[in-house]
Amino acid sequence: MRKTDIILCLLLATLAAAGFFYRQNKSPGQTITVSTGGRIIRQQPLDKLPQTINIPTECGVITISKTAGGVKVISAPCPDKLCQKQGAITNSGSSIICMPCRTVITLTDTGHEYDAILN
Amino acid sequence: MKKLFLALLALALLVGGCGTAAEKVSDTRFAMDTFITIDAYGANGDDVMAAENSAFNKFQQIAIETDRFNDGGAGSLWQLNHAAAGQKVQLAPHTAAILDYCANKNGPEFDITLGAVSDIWLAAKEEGVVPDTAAVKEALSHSGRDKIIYDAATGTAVRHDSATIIDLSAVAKGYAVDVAAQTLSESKNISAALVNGGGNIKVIGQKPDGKPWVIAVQHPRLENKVLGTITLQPGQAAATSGDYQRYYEAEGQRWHHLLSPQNGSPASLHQSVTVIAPTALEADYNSTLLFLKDNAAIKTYLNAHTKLAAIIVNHDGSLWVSPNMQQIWRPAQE
Repeated sequence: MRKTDIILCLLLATLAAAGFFYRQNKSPGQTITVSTGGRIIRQQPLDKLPQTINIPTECGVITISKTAGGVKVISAPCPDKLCQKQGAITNSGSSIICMPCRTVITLTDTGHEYDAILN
Repeated sequence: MKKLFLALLALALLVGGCGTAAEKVSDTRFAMDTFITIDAYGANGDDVMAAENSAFNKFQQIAIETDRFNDGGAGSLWQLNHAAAGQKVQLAPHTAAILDYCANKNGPEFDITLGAVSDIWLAAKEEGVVPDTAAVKEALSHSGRDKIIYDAATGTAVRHDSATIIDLSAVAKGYAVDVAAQTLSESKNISAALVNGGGNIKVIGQKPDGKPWVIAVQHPRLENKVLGTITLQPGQAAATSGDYQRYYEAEGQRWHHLLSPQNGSPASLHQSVTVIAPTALEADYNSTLLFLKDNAAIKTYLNAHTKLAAIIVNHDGSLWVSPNMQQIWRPAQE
């Protein structure tokens, strides 16, 4: 076994290990919570959210879309569409609210994660 | 040497690469007047979506059959409620199965014959008033243990009082969640899934990351807060009944949807009751039942039903967690 071969193997092993640990220890990022009519219907890490999602609400479907580092409403059935005019939210703690449709979309820092909410 | 190099390269790519092979598909639909969410995992996203579609379709079938406000066809709940007194009705399969489960359970804390009383409250809610006591009392006279006779051998049911209205909303969701979960577990394309039907959850299989299923319990008074989390093993179910789920305000008070069979009014012993059980149907049924029991009666009942665990938020907001719940309950940090 030549010296360069050994170095190459070690390098690959190190890179593999680094990649593995990087995936395990990536900082958590943000969580998006969508609640409507007082119930949380979706809660997941922002990076797992599909590019656009339709939210069924009591006044119709609200569609939201991911932006760079956040989300925004791209279509809403309510009359004044304030939630749409608001634009994107990107900071943790900020929300988009559609009052007539009783829908709230919030961004928070990913902390305790759960698979579902009993509500 | 070349072989060793290639083997290490392959290992490097494998370990540093994608992680789990399963795809997660999540979909939310509206049925039984609530949101139903299915999260499912499988090797191929399209196949998972197809299986979820099947599960949602089953759910919708059950919703139609058990909807007491709309004619769901032959043998449906609506048709049972509109049959003449004394007329035997051949029940459709899901309605029969639910009645089979509930047949001997009507009593002071659980009663599927309260439909007429619910209607009084629904009408009052429309007006934003508290219903007249006499009207509630009259409606209550058409409910009770003997008001529905179900014959398991023939799958038929009969009401001898034409004003009796059967209401399965206390258990229909749990039943439907079990059927949906069963559909998913029978699919070879699904390795794990969580079905959440408006407060009734069933989990099957092991999540791809190997971590247990963690379910948060909503705070009954603070909308975006949770009380804590419970850990469910594959195959377990959980359900919550609460006074904050459906209510209206009148005369300065809140009036919710969980009626006492004894006086026809919303029960006020607790704010919420969460039950863990082997099936979503049992979780749904027991969360309603325990909502109507006081704490002493709950303890006695749970001692006799060791496959159940419960979290009770009392009327005053204090929390009680059953002894067998302790290891899997994690209160929220503040």
